[in-house]
Amino acid sequence: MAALALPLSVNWPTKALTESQYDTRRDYTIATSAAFTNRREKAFVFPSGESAYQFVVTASRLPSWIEKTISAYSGIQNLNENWDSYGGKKINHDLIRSSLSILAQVMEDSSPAPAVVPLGDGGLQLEWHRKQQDLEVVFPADDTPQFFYQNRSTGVEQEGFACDVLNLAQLLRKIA
Amino acid sequence: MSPPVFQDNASISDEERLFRRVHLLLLVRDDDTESVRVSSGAFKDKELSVNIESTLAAAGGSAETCLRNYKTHVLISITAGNARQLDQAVCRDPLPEDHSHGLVYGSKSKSGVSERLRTAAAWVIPPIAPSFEVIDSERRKLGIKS
Repeated sequence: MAALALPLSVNWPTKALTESQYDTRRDYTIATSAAFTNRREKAFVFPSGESAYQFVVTASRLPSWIEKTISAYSGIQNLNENWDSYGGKKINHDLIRSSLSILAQVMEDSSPAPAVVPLGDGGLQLEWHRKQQDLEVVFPADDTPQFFYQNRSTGVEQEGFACDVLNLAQLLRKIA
Repeated sequence: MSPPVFQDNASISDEERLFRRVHLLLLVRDDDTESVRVSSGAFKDKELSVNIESTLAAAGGSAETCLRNYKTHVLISITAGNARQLDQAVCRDPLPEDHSHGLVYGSKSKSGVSERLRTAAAWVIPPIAPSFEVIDSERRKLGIKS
């Protein structure tokens, strides 16, 4: 599993960084384990208003879902009020952090990147639609994050709280 | 003060089409078909705004009217019957600038309600689901990051 450590909101120089850039100061081999694993630490940064989010990825090889996912977050983070034409609210940045935290716990190197979808209440949703299965993890603005899974072939459905990361990781493995 | 509770309006028939604009960011790729599907996120609002087709038509409007000035959106529809089957109330909620405005009212947070509304939804503009590449290209053209 790629260790996606700390999605933290940090004060960052106002110079705009894009989702395709990363912080070279945080791209280095981890000294303690390098001899055995060649693991590297790499930090991605994308701006959010006057601050920025920083992802620190610890892996020997960068999982392919990381950049796509960061790019998708970047697309929704600065939406204006009424972005959906129905009074949609700006995306709550705390929910960006908490959803990234869940991703960090459930994604594996081979996991497919989720679609990151904004919600009208200021929340967001992560989605996968593959292999006749649908998995959605919803982070509403004013409710507990939940997931909904369905297998379109068998009709099996499951729902629960997003904090049930073991279950979520298992469902993601089915879909990968 | 308690929030408003909207009652189902029986004068809206089950067959009535209800139009809903969907922002391009709410369109996601179905990896099985490589086409676009509408995210269930488009159906999460407790007070889900729609345009009631017959009221729109009575005022001389059409599906195209709903998308006027909204280049970043597509148009889909559900029927009032689709919503009622999911314990949603369908009611009129005319606005000064939009007499055909209505609501699909009810909680959509549990038991895949929004997912079932999504499944029931039909494409209106465009009339069939485009490929994801078409939507992706449209997003880029409009400067929408995704």
